[in-house]
Amino acid sequence: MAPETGPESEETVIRLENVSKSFGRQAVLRDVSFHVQRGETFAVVGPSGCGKSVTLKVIVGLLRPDAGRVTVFGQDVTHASEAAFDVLRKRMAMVFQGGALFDSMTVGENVSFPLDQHTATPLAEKRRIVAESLSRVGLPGTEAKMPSELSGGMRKRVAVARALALAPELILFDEPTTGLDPITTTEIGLLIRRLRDDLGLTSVMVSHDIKNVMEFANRLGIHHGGELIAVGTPDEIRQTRHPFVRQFLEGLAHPPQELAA
Amino acid sequence: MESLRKAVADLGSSIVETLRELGQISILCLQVAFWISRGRLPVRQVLVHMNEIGVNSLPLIAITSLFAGMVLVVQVGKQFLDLKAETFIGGTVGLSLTRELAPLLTALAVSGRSGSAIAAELGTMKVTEQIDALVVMATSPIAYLVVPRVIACALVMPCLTIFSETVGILGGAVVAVAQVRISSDTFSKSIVDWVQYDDVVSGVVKAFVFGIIIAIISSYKGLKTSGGAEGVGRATTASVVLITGLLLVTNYFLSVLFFSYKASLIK
Repeated sequence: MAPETGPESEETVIRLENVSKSFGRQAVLRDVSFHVQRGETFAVVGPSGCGKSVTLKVIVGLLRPDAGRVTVFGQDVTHASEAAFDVLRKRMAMVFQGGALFDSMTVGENVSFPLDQHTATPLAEKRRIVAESLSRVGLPGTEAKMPSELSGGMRKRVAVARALALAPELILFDEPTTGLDPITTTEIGLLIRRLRDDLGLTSVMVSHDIKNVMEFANRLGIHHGGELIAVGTPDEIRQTRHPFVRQFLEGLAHPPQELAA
Repeated sequence: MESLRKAVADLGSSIVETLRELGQISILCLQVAFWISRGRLPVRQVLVHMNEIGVNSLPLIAITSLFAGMVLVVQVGKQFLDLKAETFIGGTVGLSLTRELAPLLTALAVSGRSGSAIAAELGTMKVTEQIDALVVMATSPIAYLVVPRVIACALVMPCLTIFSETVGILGGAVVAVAQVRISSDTFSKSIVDWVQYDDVVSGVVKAFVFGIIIAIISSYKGLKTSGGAEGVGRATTASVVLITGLLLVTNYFLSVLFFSYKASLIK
């Protein structure tokens, strides 16, 4: 299955065309192309440590591609200035692997941070938004807690609440379920699905948890050796005969014999 | 031959690395100046850091300066008394403290206490992706984290220096009266005769510059951190080492500058 770029339409929120990125001699992204439609949950899946997160960092402008073209909300951001990127960043949010909560602030201050920075929302309204965001992720009444008092799963959910504060159109999740127990993993998956169904949010997640992704993503791309070797819906991916995709899906130590031969 | 080539290559790469670092520090200075010039200063954050860097450093600076002033009189008191130059003791202490010792000792104390804390805090934020999170939330880490620390450090250092001068002179006075046995009037008159307004000003200006150096270098090292907890440790040590070196070098050139300015006024 060839990596695709998809149709050009206003509903395309993100489009990567032949994007490449290297660190020294190591090519982390090689000719990567995919697009994400509005309201869709797209996942980039691959083994740990293969540089999947770089895809997200290229989309939010934390890293710039060496080659190729990146379009976000219909605007070419490949060489956008920080100021131009900031305008788009206010319409999106990112949930980092460890949560990246500010540990000098309380949970409430963390969630209201984007509001403090970019809006003149009155205090009472801010409190209401913070409480609503925290309830949405299943953590009502935790405003006064410090991040150090929270478990890994709770930190991630607070990070999602912070991401929701400015009502973004797009959320990027970096390994949303890494290091969590199976129950919390499912809860996070359900949360991502709820955000899509209730708020119509577009999301892109990067994960190595293929089971979770197959259940909650609309489409996914398999990242291997710097390339997206397969892109499609979970059903399409299940039918792929690419040896690495089969190996990854089935969690095998070696590619299946009949396909590798 | 091979080892010579390697030595030259190593020397070359370390020169390139130093120049790169100097360039990056200069860029950081320009970015800080840019954000300050935009005018929207984070007053609350500045006050928080002034409290942290300034008020909380007072005990350390008090002890450092007290003993520096005392030991100065221990060293010069007896000799000056033998030379019947006891009227010079207060002046010597006053000039040493206002021109050199107070700004430098204060800066070294603040660098060890607050410079290392800034590098460690920003370094931890870097390795736990909090800095990236700020960028993604369309908030400049320079404006949000570095600018308030630079302003706070630059404003607080002159105040701490004046405090250090006062405590140091008091320490000197105690030893002069109790051990060297000169009268407190002789000591204080000597200070008033010798120490001039511009000596105090030169110390304060130095302190202001030192404050900027401490905050910029520690922020730079913090923001450049990579490699987990070990990286944070490395960044903290590297920031204190670089700040100490830069403080001593800058202090020399500022002293030369003030001295030649003063000499030109006398001519």
